[in-house]
Amino acid sequence: MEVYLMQHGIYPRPRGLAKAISRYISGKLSREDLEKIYARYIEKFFKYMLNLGYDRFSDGMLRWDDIFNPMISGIEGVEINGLRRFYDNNYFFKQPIIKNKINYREAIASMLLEKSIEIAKKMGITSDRVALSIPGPFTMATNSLLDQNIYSIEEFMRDYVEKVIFLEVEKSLKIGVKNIDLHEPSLVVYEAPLNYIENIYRELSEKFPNSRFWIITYFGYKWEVLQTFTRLASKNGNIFCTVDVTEVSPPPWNRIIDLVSMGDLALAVVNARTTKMENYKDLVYRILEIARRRDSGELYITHNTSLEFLPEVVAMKKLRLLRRIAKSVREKLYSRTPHSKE
Amino acid sequence: MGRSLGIELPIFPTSVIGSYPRPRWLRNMIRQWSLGRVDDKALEEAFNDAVKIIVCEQEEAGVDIPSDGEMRRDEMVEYFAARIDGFKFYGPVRVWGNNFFNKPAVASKLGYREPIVLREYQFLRSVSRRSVVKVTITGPYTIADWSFNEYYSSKEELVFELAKIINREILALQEAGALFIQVDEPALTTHPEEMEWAVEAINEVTRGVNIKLGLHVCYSDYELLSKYFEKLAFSQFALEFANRGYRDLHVLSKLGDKEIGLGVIDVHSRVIEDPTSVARAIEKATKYIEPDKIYVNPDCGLKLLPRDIARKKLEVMVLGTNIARKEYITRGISKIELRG
Repeated sequence: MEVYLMQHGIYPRPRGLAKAISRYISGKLSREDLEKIYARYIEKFFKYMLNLGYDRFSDGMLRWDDIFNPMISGIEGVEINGLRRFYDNNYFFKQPIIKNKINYREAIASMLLEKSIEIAKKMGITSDRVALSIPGPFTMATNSLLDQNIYSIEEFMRDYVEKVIFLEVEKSLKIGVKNIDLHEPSLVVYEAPLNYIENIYRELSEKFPNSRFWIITYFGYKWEVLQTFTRLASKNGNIFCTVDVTEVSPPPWNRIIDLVSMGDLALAVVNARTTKMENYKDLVYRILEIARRRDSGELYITHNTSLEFLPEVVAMKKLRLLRRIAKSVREKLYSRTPHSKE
Repeated sequence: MGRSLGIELPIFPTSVIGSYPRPRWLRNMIRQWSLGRVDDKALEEAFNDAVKIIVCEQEEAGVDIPSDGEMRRDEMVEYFAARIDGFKFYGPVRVWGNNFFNKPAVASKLGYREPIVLREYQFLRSVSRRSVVKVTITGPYTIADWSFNEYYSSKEELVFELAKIINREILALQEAGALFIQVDEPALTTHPEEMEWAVEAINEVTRGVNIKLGLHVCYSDYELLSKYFEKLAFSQFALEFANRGYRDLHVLSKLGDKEIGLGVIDVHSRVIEDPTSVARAIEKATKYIEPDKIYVNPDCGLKLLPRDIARKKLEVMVLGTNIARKEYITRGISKIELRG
């Protein structure tokens, strides 16, 4: 099995960038100057990913305030109002309020990513290593204030996928981005209409066979959800599911072995909600055990949620820890298998 | 109902939740101090001057129970963590948008070093003309929930340890003559599965205390909280209602003999409320709770608002409260007693 290193989601916004954004908001910095500062920090982030040897990653999402904003500001029929807590975190986002049937004319997330892709290309990073990150349909629906007279939760998910996600995927393909990260913590936090959501994802993956869809689940672990999407992943080769093993005690290693035997997946072994560092040796042992169950296939190792829940210095430390784990797993794995890799 | 503390207040006493925008010159002074350009003494003098002005501003707006605006505190958890042994800081993390806070980490056994807000109270008491002032303290559950835990084997163990420390602080304040302390626990309902032990831990901070104790919980699940109104050893609950359009007001009927600190000002909006909307909110609340158990306050701390808007909001809050008071005054109900 090939072992890859994966980063996803929002990287902690560096202090210098946050200050520049404040200065821009208060009219003390021009848009042009702010863009230059963004470019500098995005380049720095990419450099970090390259140096650590990450195989696929986001652009750090440094322009994003949370996984919904600014994308939702471009969705017609949505009002942004009031702060809502992001699950059980001391972290809030501006909540989308669905006032009318939605429409979406510009792929805002991909347009923002396009600026980062230009930077990446100059650095020799191919766009297929970079991922677009947007909320998945169930997470979008459960974090929005829905008027039942306008949409049922299913109708809203369907419309969001067809109007928003389709446009974003089309645009991302145009800029060479194949990896689409769909943040779906709600799938493992709330009760989900699983069959319906599975169908949505199946259709999405079939409509865009050249894209790779990553269903990023975190803040919990639900066997039936992971089983459903791993099974789907095995049928449609362009779907991956992340499994957050950091929030369950003890981690369900035996069940992960079952999942891996079903299909490829991404294993979140580092918790981005605690500064405590994970036990390196134990993780290497566990991941090796999993990776040895299949000769072929892909196993990505990653962190559970966005790294922005950590101070930047700790986020870096966790990324280094993941690199160390991956390195050790690869060394041990490839030294025993015939198709050994550099 | 709690025992009388021998002080009369107007019906529907008005108060604040705690924080208030820092004057621009104070922010500059703090910046200068952080760059080493002014010394501790000069900064302390600036803090004292700011408290005098902010207390005066609240009193001029007509607030009956002012706070010191938390002028000396950058952030409600960070301030306490920095003054308790065992915490360390790695750097800021986002709370929302472009707003960050220095999230502490518990790296070793916690210890009570020295009084944390005692001097704040003493200074506030010396400058306020009101008979009662409010001192705010971040509660043990919220400090733990908003910190990283690297040392204790469980969050529960950490919260109980913090509760002992906060209890010592409250006893020190009581000893110094404080009459009204508000414990801030905005995180309380965020992990429903932890509520049972969290309530027990929070009650630990009230051990040996016989002055007025309020509990502030905002942007939270009030249905869940209301199940614990009786069990929580606090005589007042300061809750946020304006931001949620006064949904959930019915939970007030579950307060029993306890009081409500009714949030009538949305601190996340720069739109200034209408006094009649404040009066209407109070009137609505009286459908669920007796008028002598209603205090009036903003939803939460005002610190994120521009200062002029914060002040106008307080003025409107008092004007609206005065409208609501009229009817009761004509019925001969103009005062209530401060109760513990």
